[in-house]
Amino acid sequence: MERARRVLVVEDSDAMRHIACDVLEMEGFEVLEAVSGFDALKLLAAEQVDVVVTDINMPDLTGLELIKFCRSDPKRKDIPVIVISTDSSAADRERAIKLGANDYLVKPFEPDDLVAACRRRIDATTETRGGDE
Amino acid sequence: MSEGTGKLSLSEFLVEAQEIVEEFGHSLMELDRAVAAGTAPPPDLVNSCFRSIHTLKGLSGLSGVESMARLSHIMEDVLDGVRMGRVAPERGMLDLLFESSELLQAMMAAAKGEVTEPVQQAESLMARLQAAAAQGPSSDRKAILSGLDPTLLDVLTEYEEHRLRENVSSGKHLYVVGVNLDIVSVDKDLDAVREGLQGFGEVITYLPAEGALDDSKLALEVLFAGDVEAQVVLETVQAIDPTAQLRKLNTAPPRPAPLPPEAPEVESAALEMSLKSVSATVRVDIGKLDSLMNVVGELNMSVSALTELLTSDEDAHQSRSFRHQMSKTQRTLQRVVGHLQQRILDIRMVPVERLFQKLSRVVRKLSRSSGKLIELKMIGGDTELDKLIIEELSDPLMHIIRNAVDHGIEKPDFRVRMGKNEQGTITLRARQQGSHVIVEVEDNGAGIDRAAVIRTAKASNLIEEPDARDLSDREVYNLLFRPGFSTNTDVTEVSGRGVGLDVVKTNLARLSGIIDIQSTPGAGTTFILTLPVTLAIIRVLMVRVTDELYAVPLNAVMEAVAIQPEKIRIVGRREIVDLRGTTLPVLRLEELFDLPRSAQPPRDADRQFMIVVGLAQHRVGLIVDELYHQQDIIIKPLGATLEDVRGIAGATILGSQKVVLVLDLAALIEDILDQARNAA
Repeated sequence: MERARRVLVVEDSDAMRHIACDVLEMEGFEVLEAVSGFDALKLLAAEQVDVVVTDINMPDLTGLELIKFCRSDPKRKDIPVIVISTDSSAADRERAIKLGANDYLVKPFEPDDLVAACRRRIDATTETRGGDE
Repeated sequence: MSEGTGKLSLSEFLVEAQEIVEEFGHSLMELDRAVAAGTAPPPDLVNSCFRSIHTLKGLSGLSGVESMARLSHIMEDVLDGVRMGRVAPERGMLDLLFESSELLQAMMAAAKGEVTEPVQQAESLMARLQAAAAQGPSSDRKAILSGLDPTLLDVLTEYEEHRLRENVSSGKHLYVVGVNLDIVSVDKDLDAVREGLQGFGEVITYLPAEGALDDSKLALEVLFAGDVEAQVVLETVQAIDPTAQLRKLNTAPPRPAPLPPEAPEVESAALEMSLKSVSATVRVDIGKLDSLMNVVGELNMSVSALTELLTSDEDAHQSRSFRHQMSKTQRTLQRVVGHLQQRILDIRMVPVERLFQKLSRVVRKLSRSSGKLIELKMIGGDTELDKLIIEELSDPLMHIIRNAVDHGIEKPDFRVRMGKNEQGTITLRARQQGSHVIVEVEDNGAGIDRAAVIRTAKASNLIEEPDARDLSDREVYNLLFRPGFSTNTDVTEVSGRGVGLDVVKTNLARLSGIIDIQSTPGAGTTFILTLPVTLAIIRVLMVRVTDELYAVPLNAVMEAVAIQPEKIRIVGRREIVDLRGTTLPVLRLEELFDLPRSAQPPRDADRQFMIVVGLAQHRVGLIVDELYHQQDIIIKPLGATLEDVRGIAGATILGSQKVVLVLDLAALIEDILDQARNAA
């Protein structure tokens, strides 16, 4: 049986996080929530995660640092990261992509786009691994 | 897919927006004070203003409140300019932001339909904000930071890079401190690092690094800019992580040498600023509070010993006036120690609000997955409980709420047919009552179906046919807490996790808590949890059984009654007693602990005392020979050899240096109930 795909949503705004979680849960993803970058690090250390969806602008540990953490850790370097952020800084967006973010959605995002991005990234990962599950 | 998924409901949006705008208002006031005092606004403060509005922009966009989305967008531009050093934070600009904050309030009121949309005011303000955002050139970034490792810059956000640039150009040293921190406590530890370094400069960011010592650790690099020597920085961080290592970054091109007379001035200004921003809270390991509590305990004992000394006759040869003076001093000392004890207890107290908030998310989730409409009300969130109790309370409450959603609240169409509001309500209520806190979880759902509970209990072999008819409501509800009980005819997603309410009971018993159920068929069910306010100090009732003194934790004592020995009946091989219509099993410590008969004859052969002790929903009568006073004690562990003695929780030392055993009522009650069950 195929296990539910697990998405880690990292976002410090409660309302914003609830929306993203709602959308993903409705579409059958299992969702883990993190309210800060550190929260996310803890969850990543303890849990198997298929996709990370993260905000950039968070206090202390930003989304960019979180991407770098994932990419520099051998166990987590292949986890796709989808960034959701506002359009305020083109420079931050460039850096996110350069650091290895797989997608970049601009807030306010279309719920369908988020779901599609998560699906696409999971499919891509499964393919490159030769669908071994 | 249901309508509106992925959109934020207006009410949800307004709740968070209100919080954000208020917080923004506070930060703005602080910013205003700094600017009025002629000091540079603290970068953290400016950034927090920016982040508030940044979040607000995203939220209003998602919930379709266009006016607020547009206004916050322009405000964000202005604030971005300020934090990036492009826009000077002067008076006129702050006035614009204050005006914007008020306008946001008006827009929220308009979204609620309370007032009409302030369209014209918005247009005029936005034009002025736009003009403010446009001023000022951006600084030349590449030149100043050319000496730094480019891979470091890659990971910084634009803002962090700006802060780095500011620090380098003002001649600060840059340090990277590598730390290895426990994953579990990483945020706490980093807060400590930040607090420790606060007086010396600015923590620009934390970067994840490679080379964690093991899987339970995270390797991080703290990027810090300051005026101090490497040694000071390293020692500060090593106080938190002894393995911390430091390297200094080369900030070429070299800055022009600072003018010597200027240096101390800069330093004192920086110090003054840092003093202002020191947070008013301190994080303390709860273990430290425990040990502090123990010291107060010892102090208390000394005071009691002093009191006894003063009241004993042996001191009769002392002069009257000396005794008088001593007594006065002793009373003062007692009062002060009492205050000290109370203050320490206060430190451990946290409001249940946070826990309630966590549960509200659970309700939202369950409401969605169960297809039931549920509103959560929270009352008394400011009620305070010991931190440790709050932690332990989270799981039981979660479980009770699951239970309420699954078995209590009905489906919307059914509720409508029953003449109820289609939306069910779960109310979380907390209040303090003496030295206890009562937490209630109330639902206005179906109530407990007595017949169904009895049917299930029979099916699970928990009760026999003949017993069932005579059971009181209370006894029926108690069945819900028995291991192996489950009314899940069909296992649901919500509470069908193979865990029953018996776990809730066990968890509460560990906290010396008591649980009760009230239920009205068709109208709803209330779970009532009674908890001690704190576990650190407990109030006990001193009792005598034969020649031994025991301390009975008062949080489990329901009442003490005088009882005639003939009222105790023997049923089967068990002693029971009837008390106002309820039958209680009887517990005799002299039998359990095999105590020798008392040397002194009972003072009053016709009368004994019974203490009704309760744990969760169970009640047992404890027979004692004499009741003494109540007092506060600190439980001390018995030590390894006696640790496993069943029925004893620990010991305490009285003022007279006498050691008294403290009863572990949870274990005693559990044992006696097991015996009763086996005998039946």
